[in-house]
Amino acid sequence: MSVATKQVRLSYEELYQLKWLLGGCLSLISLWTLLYLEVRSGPLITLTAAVISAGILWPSLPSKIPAVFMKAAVPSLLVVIAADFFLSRPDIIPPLIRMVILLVLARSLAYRKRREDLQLILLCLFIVVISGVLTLSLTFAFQIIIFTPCAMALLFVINLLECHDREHEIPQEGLSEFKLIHFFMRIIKIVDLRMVAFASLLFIGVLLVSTFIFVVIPRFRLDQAIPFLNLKSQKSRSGFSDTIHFGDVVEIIEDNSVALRVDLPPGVEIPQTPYWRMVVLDDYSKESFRMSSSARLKNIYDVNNVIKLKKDSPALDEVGDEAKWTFYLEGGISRFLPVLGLFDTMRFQTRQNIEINRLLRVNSTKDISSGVLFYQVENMQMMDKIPATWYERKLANLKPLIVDRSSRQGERTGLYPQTTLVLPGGSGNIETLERIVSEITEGNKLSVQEFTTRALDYLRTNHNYDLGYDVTSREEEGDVLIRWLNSKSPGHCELFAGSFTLLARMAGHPARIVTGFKGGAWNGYENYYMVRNSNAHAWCEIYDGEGSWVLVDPASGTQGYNTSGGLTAVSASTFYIDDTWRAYVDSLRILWYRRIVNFDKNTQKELTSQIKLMGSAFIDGLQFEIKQWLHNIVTWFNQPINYEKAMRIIILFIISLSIFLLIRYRSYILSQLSTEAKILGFDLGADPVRKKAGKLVVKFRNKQSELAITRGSMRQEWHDIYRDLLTLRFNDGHDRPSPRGVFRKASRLLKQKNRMI
Amino acid sequence: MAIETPSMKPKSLEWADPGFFTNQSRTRNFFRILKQLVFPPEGHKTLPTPVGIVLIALSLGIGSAAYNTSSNILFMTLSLLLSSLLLSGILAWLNFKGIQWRLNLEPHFRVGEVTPIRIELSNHKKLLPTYSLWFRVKAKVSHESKRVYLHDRLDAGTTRELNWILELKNRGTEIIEVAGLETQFPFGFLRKVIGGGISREVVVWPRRVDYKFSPKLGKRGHQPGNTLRKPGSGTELINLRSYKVGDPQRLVHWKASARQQRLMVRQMSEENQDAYLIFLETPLSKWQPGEQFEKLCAFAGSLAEDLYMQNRLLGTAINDEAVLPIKRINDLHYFLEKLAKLQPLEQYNPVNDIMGATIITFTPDNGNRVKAYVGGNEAGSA
Repeated sequence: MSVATKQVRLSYEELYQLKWLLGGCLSLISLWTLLYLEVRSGPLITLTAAVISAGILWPSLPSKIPAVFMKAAVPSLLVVIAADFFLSRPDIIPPLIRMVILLVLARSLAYRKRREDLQLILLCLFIVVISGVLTLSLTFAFQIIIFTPCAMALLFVINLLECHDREHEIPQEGLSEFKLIHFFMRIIKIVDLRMVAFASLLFIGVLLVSTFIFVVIPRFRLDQAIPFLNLKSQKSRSGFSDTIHFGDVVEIIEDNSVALRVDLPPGVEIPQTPYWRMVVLDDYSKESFRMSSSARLKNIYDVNNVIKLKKDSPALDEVGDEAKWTFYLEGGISRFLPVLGLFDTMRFQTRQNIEINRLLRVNSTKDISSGVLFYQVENMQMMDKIPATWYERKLANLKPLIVDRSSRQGERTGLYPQTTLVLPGGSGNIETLERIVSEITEGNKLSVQEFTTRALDYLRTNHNYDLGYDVTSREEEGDVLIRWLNSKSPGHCELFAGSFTLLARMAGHPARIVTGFKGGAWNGYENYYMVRNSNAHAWCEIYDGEGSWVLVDPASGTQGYNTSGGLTAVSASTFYIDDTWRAYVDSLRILWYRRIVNFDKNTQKELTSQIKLMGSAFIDGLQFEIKQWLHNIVTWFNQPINYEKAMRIIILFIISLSIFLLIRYRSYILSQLSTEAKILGFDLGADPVRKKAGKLVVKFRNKQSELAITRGSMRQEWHDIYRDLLTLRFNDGHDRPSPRGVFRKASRLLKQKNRMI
Repeated sequence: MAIETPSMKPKSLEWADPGFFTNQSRTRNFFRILKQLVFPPEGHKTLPTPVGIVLIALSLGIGSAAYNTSSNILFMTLSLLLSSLLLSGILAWLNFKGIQWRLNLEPHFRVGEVTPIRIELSNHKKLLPTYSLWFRVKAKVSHESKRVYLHDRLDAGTTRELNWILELKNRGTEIIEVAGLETQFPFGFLRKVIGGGISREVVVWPRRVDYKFSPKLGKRGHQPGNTLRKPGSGTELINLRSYKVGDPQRLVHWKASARQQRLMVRQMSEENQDAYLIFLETPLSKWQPGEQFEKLCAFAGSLAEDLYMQNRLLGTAINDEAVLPIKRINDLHYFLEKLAKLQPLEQYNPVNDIMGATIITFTPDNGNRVKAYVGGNEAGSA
């Protein structure tokens, strides 16, 4: 650091400007965190951010706001906030967030004193934390890492201002002359790189310490937690609801973001193309498949953190890792929970409002979570078929139910499982279906499997798969699916699944539509299964008449929840392995979920035992190495001396002696080297002996003033050493004293002096 | 008579330091800090500021929310808050490290005169500057105190002087105390007070007052026989003589001393001026503590100083104490210090009829005025 740099300091005005700037940045960071939160306040956030940015660029802006406006602001804000709370009933979080945004805006638009600055920091911290808690997003980690030094810097500047003699003064003039670029140039001029490096090191230290605290802080089991505030998502982004309008899945498969991540238990095999079952839609009416009201009536509602489908399922501690599947369902995707098959128990991190439909084997939460939803599924069994419930066994005796929605009695669709045989009546729909079915069956009574194969052939012969085709836009009469079946138009999975369902029902086979995800990719970085929104799919389940529902995917022609050809999670070499940079970024997210968000007592225990194991392994290894090394030496010495051994001993001795002499006389050697190099025309920099002597001379000089109070003998010694140091520093001759002895004595004297002082 | 004069090297010139970086060994210093955190020495305090209280409350709130909800985001925030608190502590100790200070006081304090209390602050660190420190300086008897701030950073290896301009209102003994070093560095969470401050007793002389002093001339126009006791006060050199104990150094004739191999002093011509002895009697029967008595002290002090400057002060005497010859400035200061502490005496019988032609005495007058007499004649008032 040059002397000139040392003397440059920020004035009071500049410190206030820095404080203003940091306060603005803090507000902007907190507003940024809100962008990930679905609180329906986009315009307000944008407006606030714009106003705060303007305030940063033109800090004189607040002085131009009329005083009357500022006075009226507080009561107006109170009214607005109260009204917002009232109108947003029963939601609390969105109006709460809006209130905090307004308060941040108010604080950012007025010149702040210490108290107001602290209020701003608290408000911003509240926003950042609440966003993090509600979204559980990886971005939170990044945001809090930016937020923390910013808040620390602001507190630091506030503290510096407090020690100033103009403590409570607002430097209006300085603010009106503020130019951001000039200010940055000034900061760059003043900043001391060593201090920046020191501050950075300290911050890294803070991160390490906080990581340590985070790890060692005592925890409870996650499933014993009390639920925190939950923010409900307004609409499922994926379109997975209990009603399917044709076109919903098409919308979502345009979206390539990750919807679901799954940590597989070690050694478990899953199908090469897994079907993640979410919603089952049995009823068909008004050109939409939906979950019938009679099926919904069978929903069991509970507030719990566990869904037990098997009464005697073991407790959490008794379940081994080899049976636990961990699902990370992104926020806003769906309230229905994707699974691969039947399972014993499903556990959540906190208590949830759960809906369980044992008939359709569908599980969901009451609301769509706005943040990531974690659930653990134990003993999940992937089967070729879904076994029908006792309630569904009567399907064998049921006939197709034709419901004409245009007629009054058409509203009655029957009760589940009759709904899995509902067909659209009217406008020649049945006639068309009959024609196609007879074309498929050729008038024969076919088994379910035979019918399925032929129907799939029929569909694939007459229709191509095409995502872009939108049947809903056609202005033709008749049911949308019948129209499509009547045509040779291409279609997407919904059309294939819906059409197949109607054909199967027409043929007397109960069938229903299932939506969920099909396939996914294996993340090559962190070994987990990654399902994107573009994997959204619709398929069918057809009742085989033997007590099971069989998967039929008309879009791809697949039949059965294929478990064969499954691959273990570890050796997933034939999966589609995603090792792109996007997968890498996503792997950071899973790390965040696994290591941070899901860190609990058990993880803590595991970590402790791992560290213990690593420690003991290291010590054992070290002990072994030392013993081995000693053994080798002893063996070597015990061998009779021969020429080779003698040479080795001599070389070893010479090397040791050289090292010893180098260390002992390093100063002298370096000094001589430097002198010789200078003679030869090379400049090796300052002579190290002279350099060190110079440093000690400065230290001695600094202590000269205190020399008067020292004892006579010490004073004499002090003078002698000082003289020697000066000789070493300035004399190039050969009569210099031994540098090592002089330096040692000088250091000793300085230490003694420091103790005396 | 041996006269005790105040030491010229005040204790306060010694450096004070925080007291926990005194060892050369870093390990020992570290353990010393740890020990002092658990068992703080006398005067060391760590108190939360309002910001600190908010932070602690916030940490408690977030902590309990984290435990109740098992939200690792809250645990993460909590650990960041705690590590910030830890960082704050470390930075505060680093800020104290290498800091030394001492109190530089003016040699004399006088009532009604502004005097700077100077604290010399030195940063002996190699790299790190020191910020945001202040000293709580107290004038204990006057019950005045002030925070003396280090307004901007103190770079490594530099020294700064922090001032408090103090105007004392009462004569007597005053205790100037630098109660300790305080800081809220770096984030204002905690206020740390490092005790073991410096305390120094100072004597506050009486204030200077305006007065009239015009003694009447004696019968012979002069005061014969009352020669000046301070040789060399005149301007004309009349002789050189050997040095005697008590001769002021400024009269030493160095060239002559070198030639003679012994100290020689100049003997100047006598000046024909009146010289006086100030005699103060303060029986309680005559002087009540209060404004008039203060005026007496102020009058006597101001008069003594002026007479000394004119070389017309022979000596001083207070009540039944021995006469203090005023030969040099230290004697005058000693007299002023006595005046600073002077109080009316209950058991003292004043000497009657002091008629010495060179003795100045004082009596109370109406309206809190004080009159001065020389040889029984009124010579001035204040």
